[in-house]
Amino acid sequence: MRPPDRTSSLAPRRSGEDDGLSGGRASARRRASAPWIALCGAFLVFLFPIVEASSRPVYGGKLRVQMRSTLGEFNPAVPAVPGDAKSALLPLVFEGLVGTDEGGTVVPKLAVEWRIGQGGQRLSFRLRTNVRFHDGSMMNEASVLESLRTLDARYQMEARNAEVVFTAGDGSAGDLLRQLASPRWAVTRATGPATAAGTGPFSLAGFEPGKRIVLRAFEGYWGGRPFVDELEIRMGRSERDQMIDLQLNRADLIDIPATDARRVGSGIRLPVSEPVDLIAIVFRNRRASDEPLVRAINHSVDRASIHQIIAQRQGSPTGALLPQWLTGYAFLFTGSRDLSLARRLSSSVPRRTGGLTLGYPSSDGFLKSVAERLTLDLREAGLEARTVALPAPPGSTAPDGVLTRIRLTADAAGSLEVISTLLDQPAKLPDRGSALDNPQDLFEGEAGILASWRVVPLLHLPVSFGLSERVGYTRLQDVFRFGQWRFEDIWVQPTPATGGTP
Amino acid sequence: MTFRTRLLLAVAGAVAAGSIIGTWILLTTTRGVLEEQDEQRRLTIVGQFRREFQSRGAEVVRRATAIARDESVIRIAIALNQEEPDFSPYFNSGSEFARSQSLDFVELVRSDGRIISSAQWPARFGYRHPSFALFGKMEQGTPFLDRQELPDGVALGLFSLAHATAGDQAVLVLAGIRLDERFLASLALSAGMRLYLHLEPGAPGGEARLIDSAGLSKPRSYFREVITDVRRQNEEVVRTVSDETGQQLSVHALPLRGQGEKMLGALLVVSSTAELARITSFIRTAGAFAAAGGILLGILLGWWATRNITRPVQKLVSGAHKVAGGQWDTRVYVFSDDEIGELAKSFNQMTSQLVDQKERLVQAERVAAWRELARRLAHELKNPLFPLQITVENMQRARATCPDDFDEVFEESSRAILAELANLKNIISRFSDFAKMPQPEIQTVDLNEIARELLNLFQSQLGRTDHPVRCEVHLDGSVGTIRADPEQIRRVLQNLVLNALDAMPEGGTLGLRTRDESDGVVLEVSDSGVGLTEEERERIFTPYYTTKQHGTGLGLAIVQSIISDHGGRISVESQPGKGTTFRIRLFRNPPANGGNRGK
Repeated sequence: MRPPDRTSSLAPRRSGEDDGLSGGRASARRRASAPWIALCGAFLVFLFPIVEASSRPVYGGKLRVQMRSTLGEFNPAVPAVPGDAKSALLPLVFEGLVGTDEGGTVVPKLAVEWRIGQGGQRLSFRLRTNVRFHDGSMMNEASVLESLRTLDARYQMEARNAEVVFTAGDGSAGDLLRQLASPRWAVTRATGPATAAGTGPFSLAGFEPGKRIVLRAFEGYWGGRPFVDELEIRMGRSERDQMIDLQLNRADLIDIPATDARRVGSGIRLPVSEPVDLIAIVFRNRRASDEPLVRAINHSVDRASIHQIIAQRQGSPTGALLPQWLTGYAFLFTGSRDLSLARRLSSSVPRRTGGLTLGYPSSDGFLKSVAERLTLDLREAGLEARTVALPAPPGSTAPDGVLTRIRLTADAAGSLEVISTLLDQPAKLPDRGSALDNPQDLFEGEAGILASWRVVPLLHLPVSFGLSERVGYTRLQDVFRFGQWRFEDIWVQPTPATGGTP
Repeated sequence: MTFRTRLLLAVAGAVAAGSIIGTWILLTTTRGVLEEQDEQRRLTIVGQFRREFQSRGAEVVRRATAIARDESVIRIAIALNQEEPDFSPYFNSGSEFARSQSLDFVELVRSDGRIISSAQWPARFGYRHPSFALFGKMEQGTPFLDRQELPDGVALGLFSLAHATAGDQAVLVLAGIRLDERFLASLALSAGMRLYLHLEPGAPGGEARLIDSAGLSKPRSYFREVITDVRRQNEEVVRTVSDETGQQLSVHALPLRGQGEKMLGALLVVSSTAELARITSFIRTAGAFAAAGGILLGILLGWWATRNITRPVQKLVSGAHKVAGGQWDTRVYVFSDDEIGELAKSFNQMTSQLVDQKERLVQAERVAAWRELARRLAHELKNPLFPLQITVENMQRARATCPDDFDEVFEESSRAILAELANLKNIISRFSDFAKMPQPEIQTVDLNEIARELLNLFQSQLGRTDHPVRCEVHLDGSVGTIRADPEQIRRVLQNLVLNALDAMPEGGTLGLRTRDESDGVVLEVSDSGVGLTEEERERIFTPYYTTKQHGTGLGLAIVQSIISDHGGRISVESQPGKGTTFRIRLFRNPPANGGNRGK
């Protein structure tokens, strides 16, 4: 059940109760895996020739990126929605003590190791040395405490024995580790009233709200400077404009919906990720009496038509929350249409004044088409429904269900946790470690969420990118496989660009 | 109300009435012209809509045909001949055709009625087109109105149908433009006009919609009656309705018919009467101002005119008042040649004649008085003179005929002559007294006391036995004292009592009464004698006028003179056979000039 080709992490696993044991285990594991690392290194050397000559890593140049979404601010202290553009871009500039890899596993960042002690109430981090902020100052325990002290009053922070120690006032500090991996807990250094320096591979060189972000390679990055010298991201660009700019060599990397992938011209490099987006109807305000209604909706939806026509056969129709590639058991949750059952269920549901309302984000054309299709499918099942663009006007009532795009990661348990949080549905979720070892827990956790009838899965969709010929990346580390924007692993060939930024 | 006021009101009213009538005529004429213009403008809009409708219909036909001839549609038709065609590549075809052809509605439909691609409702792919049953009845190349269901409601569109055939399969291209706010906005409107598109409910129980040039409009209940009429008659109607503010609206409703002459909606050309009301209000206001100005001007002019007209009349009135007040020589100076001038001349002529007549009358009265005086003097002097003449002649005869007895006769005759001379002297003395009435010597006088003394003086005459006179005395004790000349007051009472006794030769009742009043006292002397006729009553105070055989006619004249010198008043009440009452009113504080002596 583990995801195929899942990258092994050097991050210490969260351990049990013994103080100082985890760090020791990790060290032992690293020592034990040393031969394997050497073997892998040889394998990489062997594979290197398969990297095209034109794609050999090159330092320098500017990577020109365009995307549909817009950012009004670029502040790590303002919470970001998991999977959105901001949460994808912030780690390029701001880092926390820990981070997550593409599989969702917590990995060391500014801390090289951590220990859990005092019955799980204390979390101690040993900081990485020689880490500099973008303003040139060194990071140390004091600067970490200065940056993080005000973020969560539940934890007492202190520097002790060259470590940063978090102590939970009551309860466990177990959740803190994952919190620390979020951009909000990035370690920053205030450089002005509204500006802060991070420690990431890029420094923020310019930000025009809703229009443009300019990032510059940070020479003093502890992990080695990124390939490109500069990263320019233009926001709010339509698909059409992005395609034109890409073909005119005015852009190097564009954001193309997977559903449009088939329509893109053949001359464009188009990496497509695994189906990492879950398209689902979320019923956050569902009452217990609404279960027949949600079940009727579930059985009335023609997922196959939506997949074939609207999704252009990208991804897969599903009745599961997590995709087949991630769990291997998604086929067990059927999503086939049963119109007669849907009609029977809908006949038992009291008719609502004005019908059922299905909301969709007004900026997402795909979800709009899906919502409109759903109204037709529901009508066939005897349910009157209408669509509502979100955000709804002030004063209007919340829609019954909302078409939602949920970005999943390779961390199955973490993805379930994201879904559970989104639904406000406390579910018995498996521990991340145990989920890998015992898929039964994962299955039961997902089944529990589905049984709440607060969510009706429809599709799993991939994300895709358009690349110009200048863009290179190593195929050993498929940076686009999980839909993330890992610009630090991308380089550009020194082919002169024909167009600049207008 | 004075003549000037009436005249002023008449002039102002005439001006105001003229202004009102003029304004009303102007209002009526203007309203008629504006209403006619408004109707013309509505008809122009309706005509413009029809032309635009036809023009756009032809354009829709052309574009639908162009889509049907497009190579990609032919490829879709070819693909339909495959056993299991993949429609996913055509999901956005409808939208792309709509974009390229600037159409609002484009749908590609299979021969079995299932939708391949829809621009207006992309998610409707695979479903059977709701109007497919009508497609067979529609003639290619002819635009038609139809209702189109959309995710957010129902829209009205102008459609055309075209076919693309490949092998055994055909693709139906249904293309159209939406009749919505953009269509309405494309029609040029005059100021004060609005266009609405009424859309009939899409399904039984559904809601009708109203669209204006800004988009979906709120329902307007005042159109309901017009819509009902259009729906019932299925032809153009023109109605006048009132909106929620009470403003009058003229509504020209044009039904929009679809297949089978079914009414799908209506075009409402609405012209507000606000402009008409504004102009009407302006005229009304201007008329009011003109009327007000006219009235003001009328008042001013009227005041000026009436002043000029009525000033001579007022002079005449003033002159008449003066004449009535005794100024008979009053003259009115009016310098005009109109009727008022003639009237003034006549007035002046009248007063001149009055003065002349008065002078002649005074002259005549003066002559008459002198004659009366001469007559009285002759009468008074003749009586003593005749015995004197007889006595002297008797003495002469006695000297001639009887000298012996002459002394005796002389002695008797001398006595008789002396007696007659005394009588003459008495007569002359009375005339002299009347001519020389002394000034009253004012002092505090008790009127009741004087009355009592006088009654005592006349007690012997009152008590005569042959014809007794009963005396009724009512002296008010509250009369108190007054300021008067006691001798003259006593003389007044004496004369009045003597007159009363003379009026009752056969006896009767003598009344003597005093009465206190707020500013003076009243003294009344009455008798129950023969009374006076009206003529006698009017002349009773005239000097030398008497009703008695041996009276001088100066008694009551003296009484009136004394009372007048005291600032009092004397009046007489009498009827023949019912006695006479003299009433004297004396003021406690007589006027400073003491009366009208010398007047």
